[in-house]
Amino acid sequence: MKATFRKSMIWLHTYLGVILGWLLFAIFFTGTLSYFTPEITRYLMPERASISQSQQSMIAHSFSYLSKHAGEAEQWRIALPSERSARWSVQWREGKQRQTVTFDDKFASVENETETKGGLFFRNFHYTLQLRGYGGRYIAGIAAMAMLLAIFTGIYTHRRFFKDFFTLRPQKLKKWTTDFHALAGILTIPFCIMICLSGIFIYAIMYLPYTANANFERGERGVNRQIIPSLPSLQLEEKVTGNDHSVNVPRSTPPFTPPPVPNYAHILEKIDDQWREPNPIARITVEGVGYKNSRIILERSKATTVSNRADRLVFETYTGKPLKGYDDETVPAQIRRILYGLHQANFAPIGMRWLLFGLGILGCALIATGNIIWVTQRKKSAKQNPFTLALVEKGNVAAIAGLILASVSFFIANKLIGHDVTGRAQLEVNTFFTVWALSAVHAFWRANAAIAWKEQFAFASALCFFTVAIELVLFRDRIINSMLNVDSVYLSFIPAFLISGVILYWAAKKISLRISSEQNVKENTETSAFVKKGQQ
Amino acid sequence: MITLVFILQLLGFLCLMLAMKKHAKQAGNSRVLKHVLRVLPFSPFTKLIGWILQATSLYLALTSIEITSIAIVWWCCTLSAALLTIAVYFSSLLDT
Repeated sequence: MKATFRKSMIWLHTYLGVILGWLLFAIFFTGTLSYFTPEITRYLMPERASISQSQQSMIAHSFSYLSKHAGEAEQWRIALPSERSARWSVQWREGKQRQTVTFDDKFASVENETETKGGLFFRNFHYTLQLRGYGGRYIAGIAAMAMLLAIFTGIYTHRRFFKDFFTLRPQKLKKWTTDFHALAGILTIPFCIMICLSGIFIYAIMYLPYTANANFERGERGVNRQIIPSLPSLQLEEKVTGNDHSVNVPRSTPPFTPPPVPNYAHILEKIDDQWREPNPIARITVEGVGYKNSRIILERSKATTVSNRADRLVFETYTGKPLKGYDDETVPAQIRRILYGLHQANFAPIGMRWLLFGLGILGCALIATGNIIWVTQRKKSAKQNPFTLALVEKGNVAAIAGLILASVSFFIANKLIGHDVTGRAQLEVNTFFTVWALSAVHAFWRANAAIAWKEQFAFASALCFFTVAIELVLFRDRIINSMLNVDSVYLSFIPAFLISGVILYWAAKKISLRISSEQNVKENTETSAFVKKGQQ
Repeated sequence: MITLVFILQLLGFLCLMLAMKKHAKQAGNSRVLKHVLRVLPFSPFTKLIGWILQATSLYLALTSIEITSIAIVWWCCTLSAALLTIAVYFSSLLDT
């Protein structure tokens, strides 16, 4: 126990950061990239060009396709593209089997889609650490709780932060790092609290299973069943006949009769009055295809709500008559969904998304500078165990610069691995982890950590420029098409890589200058000591 | 409209900064801010203007964006951006 409460808080803040800093950086960094999950997936799949068709025509084509190809299915699902994802697909279920077909802008089904984990890799890594089923989500949850603690102890540590706030002393690197840590800390307080708290809430029931198990019949599932409203299950009895629906489809003779197309035109007219934003429908589900009491569920896009559950409307499939639909969600479910929505920020328009991305990067910088400060301060102390110091110092290089390197390598692997290579998605993931491991080897192999920092940043910068070069050489047609169709989502990746490359180069250059100035100081001291000795 | 919210927040922070002695000294290094300092009223009043500007920006965000919760998220995001801009600007004044 420390002498004062403040000292205890400083101790806790320091060691939470040192012990969990690398893990938190990895979670924050991949989480920040996850703000652009659909965009990254789209960038990594050349066939995902923007879709300019109207929702009405896409719905019409989807239903006619499903009617032809999935007439015997129990359920149909249509996922309409957003500007972010540009993914238009239909899915149907027959028994336990699901089939999915994706369409392009010309209503043609896309064959041979690029096999990639896309942006989902970063997103899944963010909360499972690639250890789903092995406690990854628990580790991420513990890290989020530790981050919350670190935030509050940090607030207590920097008591004078409003006075010191606007001071960034650029001439002295050590002071600049401390100032920047304080500045980033204050700026990201609300953001970090929101992110950590919502992250914990998403899996709150998983983290506290005893209450759920004690009070609900099926534990976690029982809680979800109780708080999340669902529709009553359908009793499918009577098949629909030609006269039961307003839109008739020419029917073939038995044994197989394709089901009629749902009365979607009537339904679309009805929702036009309620959902006024452009392209309001995100997903359509038809349950009980071909039966009289079949129902159609329309899910609204998430652009108009902070919650991660958008409005849903339910209609009778073949008459277009509105049905009662879902009950209102209970307050606990609403709270959870709002926190979930805030965490994912699916509602955020592009400007806000970039601001949130910036805050995420600031959060990463906050964690990174915290770990760097610990090393620089301990270097001064003679008491510090040299092994621990070297471990943290070089571990910082691998955890921070190494992760950046690995992430850029993931993009390059996607671009360079052949389209037909089997298991290419896994190869991308393997590249990510191999590069990360190699960066750790490099960091520990280098005697001077500063040189490892410089080299890894310089290499990451070179990789960013290389990614742009690959794009310009191998994907010229895609660039031209995107320019013609004003596909800003895809095109924005090129400047993003260029800017990242410049920033990383600048960081490498700064470190290089610092290394040479330190060497000059060392040489001067040695020379003056030698001269003094000679004079004596 | 969000740009206007951001500008109001920026001006609000500028007033709050100039009302603080420590940072007013730094501001003396900038020609523009020197003139602003001459024109500004006494410190508590400048502080008040700063807070009013922040409140106005919130009001503007809430009234111009249809969905309140999204408006609040917007306001918080631009608030952080404004704070960062001011902090970096004032830090640059330390050198001159």
